[in-house]
Amino acid sequence: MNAKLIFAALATTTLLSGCASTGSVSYGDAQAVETLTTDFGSTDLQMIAAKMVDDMLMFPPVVQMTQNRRPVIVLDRIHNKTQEHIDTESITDSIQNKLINSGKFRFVDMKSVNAVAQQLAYQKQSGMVNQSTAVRAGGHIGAEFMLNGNLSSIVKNSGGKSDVYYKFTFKLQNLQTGIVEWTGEKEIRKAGKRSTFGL
Amino acid sequence: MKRQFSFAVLGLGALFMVGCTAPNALSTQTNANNEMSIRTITNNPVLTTEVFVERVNMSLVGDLKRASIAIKNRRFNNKDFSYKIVWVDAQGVEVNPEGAIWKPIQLTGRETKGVQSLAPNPSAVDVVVYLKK
Repeated sequence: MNAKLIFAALATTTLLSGCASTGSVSYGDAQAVETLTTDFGSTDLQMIAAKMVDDMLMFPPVVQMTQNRRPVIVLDRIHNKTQEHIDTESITDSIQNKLINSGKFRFVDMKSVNAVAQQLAYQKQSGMVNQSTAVRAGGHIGAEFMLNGNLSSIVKNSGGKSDVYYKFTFKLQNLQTGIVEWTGEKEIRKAGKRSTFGL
Repeated sequence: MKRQFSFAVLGLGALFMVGCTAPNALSTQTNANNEMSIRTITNNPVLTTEVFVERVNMSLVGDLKRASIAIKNRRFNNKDFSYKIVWVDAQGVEVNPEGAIWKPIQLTGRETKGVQSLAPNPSAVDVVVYLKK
């Protein structure tokens, strides 16, 4: 009988220690579908980035253009025309990341121009850098294309229900000719319902 | 008798819980002759009765592979599912596994919807398609 009790106690302890948690914090899957609210979320950002990159790389003139060379692109901004505060730079960062890792395009980063200029001035003028190893100014490559776009939304609320429609448009423009070589569009519709007691 | 009943209840409970979470998968394998074979992994038999991958086609866009996948709802009512397409290289190693995202998909009764995915780079040759509720 005693042996049974000891065994039961041990089993319970093992079970409880196995379930021990480190508090109320847990890690989630960053790639999971997020449907907490109808506001712009991580899944929307990821779906937009994936769709834009896939569409662009599948477009026949772009396929042809990137067959033997890696054109240089500069990223402009996404105009946020929605009523929400959305970090649109996060969308362009994801798109840039995917395009670079595809091996099809190269990018120049206008956000780091000031830091680069400061570093070049330091190398040239500070007297602290061995001039035989200093980077020479004037070697940057001019971008051939520019990427920019718009994010807009239509929000409708009625009787505790809400419907949000997002439209993201993106375009690749040739800086020499001004011709828009490619455009992509992603639409997202989200519907939400307020809980019965408004909680 | 009672014990058998308890086990049956536990078993059904476990099956029910798995039915809610476990994804089913389908993977392609392309050999040296460019012939593709398909393998399905059924972790969730309940889900199989609701949704499945009806067709997988591979094509080339430049030097990148494109997977065109048809997902079919077996039921007669509208269903919401999630799918994820993971690209793998010739050795079966996932290419940028964290870049593969779960995407929501809504299917009306008996609808077959086509989805596409482009390989993240030329080393990616096969896909693993995950489906879950």
